[in-house]
Amino acid sequence: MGTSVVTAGDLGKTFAVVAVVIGAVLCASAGTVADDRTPTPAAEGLASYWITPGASAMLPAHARYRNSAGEVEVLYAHGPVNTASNAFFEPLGTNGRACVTCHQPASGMGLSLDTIRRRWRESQGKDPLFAAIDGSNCPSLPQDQESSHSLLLQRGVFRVALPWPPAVRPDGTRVEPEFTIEVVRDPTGCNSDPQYGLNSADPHISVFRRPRMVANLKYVSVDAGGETFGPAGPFNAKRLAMVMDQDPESGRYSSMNIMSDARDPTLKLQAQDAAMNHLQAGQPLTAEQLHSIVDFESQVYAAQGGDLMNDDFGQPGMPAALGTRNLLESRSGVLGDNYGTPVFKSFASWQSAGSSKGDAQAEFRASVSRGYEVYFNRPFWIRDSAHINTVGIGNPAKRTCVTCHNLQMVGTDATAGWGDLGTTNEPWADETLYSPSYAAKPDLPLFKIVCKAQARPHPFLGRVIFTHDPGRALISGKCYDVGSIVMGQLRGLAARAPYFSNGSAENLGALVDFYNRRFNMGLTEQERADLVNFLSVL
Amino acid sequence: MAGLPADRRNFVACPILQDTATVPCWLAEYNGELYFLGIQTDSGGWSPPWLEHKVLVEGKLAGGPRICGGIPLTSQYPASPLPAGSADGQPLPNPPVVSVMREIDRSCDTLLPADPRFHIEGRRGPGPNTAQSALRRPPTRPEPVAVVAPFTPRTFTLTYEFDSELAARTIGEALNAVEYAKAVHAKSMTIVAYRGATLLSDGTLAREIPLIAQLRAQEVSTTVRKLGIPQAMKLTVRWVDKPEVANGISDPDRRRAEILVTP
Repeated sequence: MGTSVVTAGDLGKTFAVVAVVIGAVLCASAGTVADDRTPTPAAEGLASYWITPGASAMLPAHARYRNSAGEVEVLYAHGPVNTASNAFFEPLGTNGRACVTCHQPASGMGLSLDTIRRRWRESQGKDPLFAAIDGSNCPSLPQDQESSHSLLLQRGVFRVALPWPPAVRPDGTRVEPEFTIEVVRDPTGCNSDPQYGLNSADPHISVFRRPRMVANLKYVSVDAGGETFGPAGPFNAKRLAMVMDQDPESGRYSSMNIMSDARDPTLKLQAQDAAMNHLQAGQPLTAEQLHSIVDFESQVYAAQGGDLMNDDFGQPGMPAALGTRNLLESRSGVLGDNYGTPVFKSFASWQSAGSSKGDAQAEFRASVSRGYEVYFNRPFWIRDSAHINTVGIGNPAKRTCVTCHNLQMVGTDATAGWGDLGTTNEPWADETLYSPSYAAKPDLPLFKIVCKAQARPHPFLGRVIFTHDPGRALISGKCYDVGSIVMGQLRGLAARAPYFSNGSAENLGALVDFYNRRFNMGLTEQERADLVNFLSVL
Repeated sequence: MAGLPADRRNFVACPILQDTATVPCWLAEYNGELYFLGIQTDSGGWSPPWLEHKVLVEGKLAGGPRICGGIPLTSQYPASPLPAGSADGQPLPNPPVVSVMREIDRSCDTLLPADPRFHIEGRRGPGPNTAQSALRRPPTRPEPVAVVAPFTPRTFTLTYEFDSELAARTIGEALNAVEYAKAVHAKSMTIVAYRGATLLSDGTLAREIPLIAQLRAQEVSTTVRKLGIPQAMKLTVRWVDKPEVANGISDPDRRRAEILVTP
C-alpha cells in the first residue's frame, strides 16, 4: 500500500513529502489563513494567522485556518464575534496583551510555535507576546536580544512563576510542602535571580509551559462530567482520597482539568490569574470583564476541520467525532469504553479503501482509521506513571492509549487528569540520554526534589527526584505529585505544535515517538504513521 | 505458622506479573510456593500490585484449582465490585487484601511472558469500561446516613491499606460524618487515627511506620474541613502511635481512623 508516507502530522519534516505524494496544493506554509469558505467576511487584518489585541472587527461564526495537516476550524456557537465588545480580545493589562494573544483561532485557540516565530520576525520582537514578564527567559535579561526569548522561540513555552512555598489555596488551605527543592541547573538564570528567583525576597519557582487550548471547554471545565458518572466530586476518583477543589461562588466541585497543574478550579479564576500575571493587570478584572471572557470561552469549539486530501470534516458521511459541529452537538462527560461509546466514536466510514477522490485520499483515510485502532485497541505496558498506574490498575498495566485519554470527543481524562508520564521528570524527560532531541544543550531549569521523611514518596522515583517542572507538586506540595501534569485535549493538534507542557515534542511524530520510547510500545513504522495521521485529523 | 490457622497466608513479598494472551495475572511467591492474587483489572474493587514495590498479602487459601500457576488466595473482606473475569471458565475468587508497600524496591521486577496454558477472561479489556470502572463509581460512598431523632453519638470508620494514609476505598465515610454533623448540629467531632500491625505467617510482626497514625489523622482532618464542617462545632484531632495488637486474621480492620460525631 505504501501508505506510511502519508504522515500529515509530522509538521515541517514530512510536509514536503506529503505534498509530493498527494499532489496537494492546499497550503504553502503552516499558519497562513485563507478561509475562502467562510460565508461572513472578516474585517481586514483579522482573517490572518494573528489577531491583535484591541483590533476591532467581526469574526465569522465559523472560520477555517490552514495548517500543514489541512485546516483547523473554529466555531463560535453564539454567532459572529464582535471583538470590540469582548474582553477576551481587549488588552486588559499593562503590557498590551489580551487573552487572544496566547489563544489564537488560527492556532486552534492555542499558540503554535510557527505563529510565535512568525510574530517575532514580523514585529522584530516587539509584539507584547514577548513581554519580559513571561515571554522571555527572565525579566532581568536584556529584552532586545533574541537569546533572551529562546525558550519561547524554540519550545513555545512561557515562564510560569509560582510562589514557593505554595500560595494559600482558594479555599484558604495553607500547604506545607512535603519536600525541599534545590536549583541544580538554571540556564535562564531566573531561578537564581536576586529579584525573581527562589532565594529572592518574594521566592518563586520559574517553570516553562505551553499555553493550553481554550476551546471545547464544556468537556473540561467546572461543569464537565455528569452524564456518565454524575457530577464531579466531592472526591477525586483516582484513589487519592482527596476532596476536589470547589468553585468558591457556586460550591460546585471542579473537574480540576483546566490548567496543567490544576491550580485554578474555574475559568473565572483562571482568567483572573492570567490577567494579573500574563497580562500584568494592575488590578483584578471586573465582574463584567470576567463574565465576558468566560461567556466567550464557553462557546468556542476548535478542531481540525479538513485534511490535505480536501476532506471537509463538516460534510455528511465524515467520522462522527471530527469537526467542530460534532463537538458542539455531542454530550460532555461521557467516559469512552470498548462497547458502546468509543472515545472518538466511529471511523468505520474510512476503513474501506473506497474513495471518490483517488487513491491518495483512500489511503490516507484508511491510515487514519488504522491509527484509531492503534489508539484504541493496541495494548502496551503502561508502566511507572504516577496517578496512572497508581489508581488501581496496577504497575505495569497492559492497556492502550485510551486508558488515560478516555473522555469521549476530546481525549482528556474523565477525572482529574494529572499524571507523571515522564515528560518533565528524569530519567524520561527529554534532555537525558534517553532522548536524542535535546542532548546537545540543556535549556530548561533542573530541580532536585528531596522528600521529607514523613512524606509518601513518589511511587516510582522515590525520595530524590530530578525534574525540570514539578508540575502539580508546586501546588499540592506533595512528593507524590512531582512531575504530574494535567493532560490536554487531543483536538486541533495540527494547529498547536509543539506538544507536551514543555514543548518537548516538536511535532506529532515526536509525540508518538516519546510514547513509543517511554512505554517500549514497539510500534512499527506503519503503526507510527497511522497514529500520527489519526492524531492529525482530530 | 506460629499460631495462625493453617489456611492463613500473611506475608510480604515481591509481586510477580504473569502475562497471558489476554489479561495478566498477579502472583507472589512465599515459602517456595506460588500464590495467585488476582488479575489486572480496573480501578475497582481490588488494586493490583505494583512492580518495584513489595506487597503485604493478607489472605487465606481459597480452594479450587491453581490460577495462572498459583494457588488462589482470598479473604473475608469482599472486594466491591469483585474483579470481573474468569480463569479456565471458573469465576475468580474474592481477592486477598493486598497493600503496596510505601518505599520502592527495585528488586521486584519480574514480568513473565504470556503463557498459552492460562486462559483468563476479564470484562475489562484494553480500554475504559464503564460497566466496571470505579470512575463511574467514585470512591465508596455508603448509603446516606439516616438522620432520625433522637440524635445519638455516631462513629464513622475509615480503613486503610498497610502504611497508607489514603483511605481510598472508605473516604466516603468522612462525607457521611460531615453530613451527619451538619444534620444534627453536632457539638463536637473527634478524629482518632491508629497505627496497625499484622501478624505474619512466619510469626513475625509487621508494624506500620511510626508516623502513620498522625498522617491519617491529619488527612482526615483536612478532608472534613474541605467538606465543610459546621463553624461552631469543636474539632479534636488525635492519634495513637502505639501499634494495635495483631492477630493475623482481622488486622486490616485496625488500620483505621474513627470520626466520632457528638450531637
